[in-house]
Amino acid sequence: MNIEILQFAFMQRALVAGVLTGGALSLLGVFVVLRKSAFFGDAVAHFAFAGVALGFLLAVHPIAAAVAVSVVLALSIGYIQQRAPAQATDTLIGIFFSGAAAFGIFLIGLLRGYRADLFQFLFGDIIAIAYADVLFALAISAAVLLIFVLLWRPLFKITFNREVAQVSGVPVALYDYLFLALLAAVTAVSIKIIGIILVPALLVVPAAAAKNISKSFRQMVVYACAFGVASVIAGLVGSFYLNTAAGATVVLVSILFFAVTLMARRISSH
Amino acid sequence: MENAISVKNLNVVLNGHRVLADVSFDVSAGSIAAIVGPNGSGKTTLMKAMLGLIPYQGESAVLGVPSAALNQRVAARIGYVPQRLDFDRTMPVTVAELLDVHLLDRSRKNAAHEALSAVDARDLLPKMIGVLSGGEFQRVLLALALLNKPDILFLDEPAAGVDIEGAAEFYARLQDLRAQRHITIVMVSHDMDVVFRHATTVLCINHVLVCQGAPSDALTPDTMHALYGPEHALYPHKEKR
Repeated sequence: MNIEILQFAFMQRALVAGVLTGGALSLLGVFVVLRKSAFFGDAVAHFAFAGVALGFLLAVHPIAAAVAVSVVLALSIGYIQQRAPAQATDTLIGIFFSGAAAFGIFLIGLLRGYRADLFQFLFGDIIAIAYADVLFALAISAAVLLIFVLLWRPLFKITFNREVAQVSGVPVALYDYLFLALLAAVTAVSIKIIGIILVPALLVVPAAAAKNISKSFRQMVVYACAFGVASVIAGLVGSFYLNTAAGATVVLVSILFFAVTLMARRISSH
Repeated sequence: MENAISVKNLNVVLNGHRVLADVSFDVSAGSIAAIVGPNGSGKTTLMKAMLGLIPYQGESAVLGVPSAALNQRVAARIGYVPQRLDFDRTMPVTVAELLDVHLLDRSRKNAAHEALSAVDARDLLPKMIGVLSGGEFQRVLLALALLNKPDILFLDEPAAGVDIEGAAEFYARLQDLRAQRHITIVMVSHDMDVVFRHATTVLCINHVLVCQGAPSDALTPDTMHALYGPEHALYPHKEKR
């Protein structure tokens, strides 16, 4: 790899913030994929969109508003799921997803004039991030790592079987809410750094690729982080030389990893 | 003998339907209690209520602790194998990892080995769960239930999906465990032959408690009629007992 691109400060910032956020989202993604919550990851990115719009309208810090709205809506889904199990989860998420997207667009309509800064929040360009965002990414990834270390055992038990987990003393409902809130908060804060397209992709694709070739949970964790980080690095470098959109290139690289691991899985199972 | 389980006037209403009505019984420590009854009679519901997995009215206590308040301290003394365990077989997890995650006393380094040895399945330790056969998976689940050295085991149709020989082996193993560790076993079973051979007490459920006691005393033509209807009769394999 030509290291010429590392001479650019914007590229250094993008690589560091991208690797940190990509690693953290991929780690969290292990449970998103194993709990079959990929659609939820997509939806929560749109909750954050509605939150950012609300923040602008009420003159509240957009990230704070995004976190608050995302967490409240995510917990609402969890609450309705527990209280009305007859509602299919994907239907429920679909309704919240559409509602949040519509509400966000509705709120933007109430804002006066064109707000370029709003769109920067929504489509956060990884190439355009500031030094403060790098520190922000560091804080997010450290928090996710800490939470993962603290919570992976009970989350693993619940993912394996909810009833066995509950009988073994895990407060299942509490951890369900905790996971939804954590996912919502991390998604909302990551959007400012890497954008609404890249966040759900990094939550799902590297972990899904890892699942294809893993022979143990430990392997899945390591591979997911490796694919997430490698996607960010290869995507950023590729976008620099191809002069393409950085976020989109990262997503496409991660999907390439998924396609290759899927083929590897098919070949090894024959 | 002290009671491992005490249930008094237990009522369970699910989706507006009364599934269990005024059920009362005790299970003494060290016994093998079989819950029998037709499909949809509330057997699994009764087990879930005892484990605090669903809301109930009335009293239910396991090892002296109310079922609705079973906490981690008591949880270590309970092993559970649910019916048709709902689990994603594509989840990449080894038997070793599954057992390690569920181990409560982290200082017991050989716990996974011990639990698998008890069900004669030590060779399964490095295997992925998704590749196990039905019988192997059932043994791993029993090992998981035994992992934290429980005082009581709850088994909901533990040998479902296992062939006849496998099932016979499974129940023989349960008998050994009870003899060696003096644990109480509560199991849901459809197989009357298993109940007569292995259970020390039987709880007959058809939304209410139809009968209880030693299988040979409790399972009379009248109670079988009340449980399964007039077209069913009982032919115990007396020669095998």
